[in-house]
Amino acid sequence: MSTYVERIRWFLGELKRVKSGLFGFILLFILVGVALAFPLIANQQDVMYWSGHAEYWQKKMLPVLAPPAWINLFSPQKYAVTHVIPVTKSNYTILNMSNDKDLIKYLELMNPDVAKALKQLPASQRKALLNNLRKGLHFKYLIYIEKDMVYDFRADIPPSDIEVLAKIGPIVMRKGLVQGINILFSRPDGITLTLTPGASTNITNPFNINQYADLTSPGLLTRLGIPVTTNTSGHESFNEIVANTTWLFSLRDYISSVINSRNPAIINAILGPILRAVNATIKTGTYINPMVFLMSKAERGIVSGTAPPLKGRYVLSFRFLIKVPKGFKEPRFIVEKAKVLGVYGLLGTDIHGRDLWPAFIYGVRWALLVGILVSVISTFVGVMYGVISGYLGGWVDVVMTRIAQVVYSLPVLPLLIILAYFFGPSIWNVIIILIAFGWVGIVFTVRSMVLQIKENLYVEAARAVGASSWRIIFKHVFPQILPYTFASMALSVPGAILAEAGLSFLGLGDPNLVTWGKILHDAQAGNAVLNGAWWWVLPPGIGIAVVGMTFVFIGYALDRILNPRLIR
Amino acid sequence: MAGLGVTAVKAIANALIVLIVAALIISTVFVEQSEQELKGYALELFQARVRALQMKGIKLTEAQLQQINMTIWRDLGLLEPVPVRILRFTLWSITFNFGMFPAKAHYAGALGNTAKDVILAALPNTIMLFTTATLICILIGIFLGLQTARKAGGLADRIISTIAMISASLPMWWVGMLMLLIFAFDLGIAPFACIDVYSDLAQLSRHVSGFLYWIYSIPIWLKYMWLPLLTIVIVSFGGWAYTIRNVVISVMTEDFVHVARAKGLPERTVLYKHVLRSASPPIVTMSALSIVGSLGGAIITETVFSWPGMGRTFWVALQNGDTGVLIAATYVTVFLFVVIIVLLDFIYALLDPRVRTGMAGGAR
Repeated sequence: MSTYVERIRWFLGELKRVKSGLFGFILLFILVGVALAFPLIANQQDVMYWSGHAEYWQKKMLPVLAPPAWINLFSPQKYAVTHVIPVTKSNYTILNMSNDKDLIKYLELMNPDVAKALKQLPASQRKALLNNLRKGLHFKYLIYIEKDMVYDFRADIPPSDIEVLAKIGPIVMRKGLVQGINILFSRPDGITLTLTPGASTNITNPFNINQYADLTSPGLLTRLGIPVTTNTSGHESFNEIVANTTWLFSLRDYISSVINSRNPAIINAILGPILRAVNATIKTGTYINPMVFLMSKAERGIVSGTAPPLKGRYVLSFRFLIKVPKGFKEPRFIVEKAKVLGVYGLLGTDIHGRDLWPAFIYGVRWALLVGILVSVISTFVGVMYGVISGYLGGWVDVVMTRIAQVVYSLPVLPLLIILAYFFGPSIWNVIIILIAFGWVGIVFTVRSMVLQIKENLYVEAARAVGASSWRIIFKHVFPQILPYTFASMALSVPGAILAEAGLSFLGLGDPNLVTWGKILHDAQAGNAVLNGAWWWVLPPGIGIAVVGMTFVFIGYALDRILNPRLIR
Repeated sequence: MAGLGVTAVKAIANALIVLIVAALIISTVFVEQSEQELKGYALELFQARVRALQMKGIKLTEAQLQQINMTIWRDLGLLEPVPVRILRFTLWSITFNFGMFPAKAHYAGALGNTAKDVILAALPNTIMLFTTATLICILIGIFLGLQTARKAGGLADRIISTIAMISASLPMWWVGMLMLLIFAFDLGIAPFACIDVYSDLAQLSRHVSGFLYWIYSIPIWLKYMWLPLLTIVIVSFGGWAYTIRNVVISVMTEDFVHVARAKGLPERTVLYKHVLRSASPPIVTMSALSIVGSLGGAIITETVFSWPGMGRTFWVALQNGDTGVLIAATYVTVFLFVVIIVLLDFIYALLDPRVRTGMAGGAR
């Protein structure tokens, strides 16, 4: 036992003299720490739901192709940062038409003269009149909903989007039942846009339906992206936004769809206030960045996107005036999350709006696992092969050496590609195939070492005593060779990691796992280079290089310490 | 010269064994994967033949139809048991009989629609890119290797060693992506996709032809080639310089170098005439391994640059599940690899006087 302790102490003493080796071991220590502490550093679910779970990422509402947030430290022009914006104003007023007081209030709002005259009537007459009025109404409740979100824009580059995730419904859409919606976007310079064409930009009386756009009008719902279901009750068939309908409103997509509609009437109704302020028009077919257009100063160049940004308080407000017929529930409009999408997180996001940080950190695990598993097993197999071949000698040796030479001369990657393609994409298949080609490198050195060891007296003595070949191999030959293989074990790790990354890059990796090669595969498939998404390309490659270098440093250090002949 | 002949025979025999083993592995994969594809191809052939006969006005009986179908199946080797078919495919591969495999996807530059046409279009491009890159690397490597070996342990030496260490663990294709980000996206001085070279060439062919076309196509190729070339050189030159340095250092300790210096020969002459000549055989062997190593990375590097060579062919074939092309591309890459090794072994033998004169040792 003490000899082991001594050996380790000796090794550590030697290691201190080989600086690059020490550096390699420190790096390895950090890498293993990161791999183990992954659940603490990043969100494990992100990695579990990485592929094939679009709804998970949609719910997270992350920006698409967003640079990392720390870019603002270096960029002279500051980017808007992704963050949740609060709901600053919330209002829910309900007028119950079966209640006289509410009905009178409604009349007061709609037609003050009628209400005044009504108030002067005697009570019984008033009651009868109110009942008559009530019969003319198509609804039981009139509900006014208001939600305001405020974004204080202080950056130089507008966010890529402002998104609102809400639960909405139930809202019934019947003929003759006008449901009001008005989405307002007010800018710090006093210009207010209504995003719902036909609505007023300035609501003076929230109960006046004329100030709203009609939610039931064709096209508006589809453009807003609110899902509608068709219901039938009795002989009547009607559309309905059912209770708790999830609605993701994307300001950018909405304005894009407006501009792309190429309908001058709609474009003017929505973007008119800004266009009139600068006396500009939007020519059909020109590309306009919607968010830059919405958040730039109303000056020349706003259409082409060259106007300076307009900083200050922006308010996005949703107003609804909903009529609820008899037998239906009151609607809700609950804002679950409102978000400004700009630069994001430690490593940004990819083209599917996925956070790249957890994926990158998770990559450490598989890089280490693949690298170490492949190198340890293939070195072990190679050593065993070389020992057996060298020790047994004769025709066994000839055949085994020939086989090893053939495998050694086979080009690895093309065959890896074809075998990975054949066996199907699984990380374990990849590891097995890498081992199948990786064991052969060390065989020849080991074999020549065994040929020397075989001639030693103690081996001869053991044989004379009657020890079996296997006993001699395991007891006397193998332990002697093992230390010399550590260096080549470490040096074969980078190759294994590069090979796995290469296969994953070609799309032959495990589809359910996030590895660095897979991230780069996605980057290639998602045109990261064409989009200039350096934050998508850079980290995985640096990761591969760092893990590779760690083992190169360790390998060279082990070589110098354990194989002293090589010291020059 | 007897030693040379023996070496050559040995090397070629070795290469043949390797090729046969590789072809066997590939064929086994192919027999499994391509069964459906070949059956579909057989049906197409059958219908085409029947149509051709009917056009001539020949009425066919059920038995005759069966006969035609059987002939096609036999020609494609679909009637034999699996081991026989594997051997047959091995034979086809070794004899480069890839014209039988249809190509599913469209491959740039390919004139026909079989795996053979695809490979014939892609292979010259790969060879063009990688021979140029390797030549540049050898030149840089010899220069830097000699310079650093002269002052081993100096600053330049340490820088080269570090570069070699770093580039050994860098994926070449990833460096390619970075180069594209810098030179194509940021600076806009390089094309994003080298595959566009074909549209440029097509445009050229409308204006000129013959010898002039050949002359004018050189700058077009260079316009698309320089960035992948630069990438390969950047990633590989460190390794080359480092290996050459190691070889040169061990040669420099030998007596004849001291003698040459003692004679008062200028350092340049000592280095480039005496040291380099005696260091060349191991340099050649290491070159072989280096080329072979870069060939693997090259497959993926080509994909990144959309270079219309074997690598991109692999990528397109993988994306489309195009087994025939995949097999052909794999076999041809293996073949190239083995041929390079044999050639360099042979050059090694030529350079090493011990082998040339038939003495023991020398080439593997």
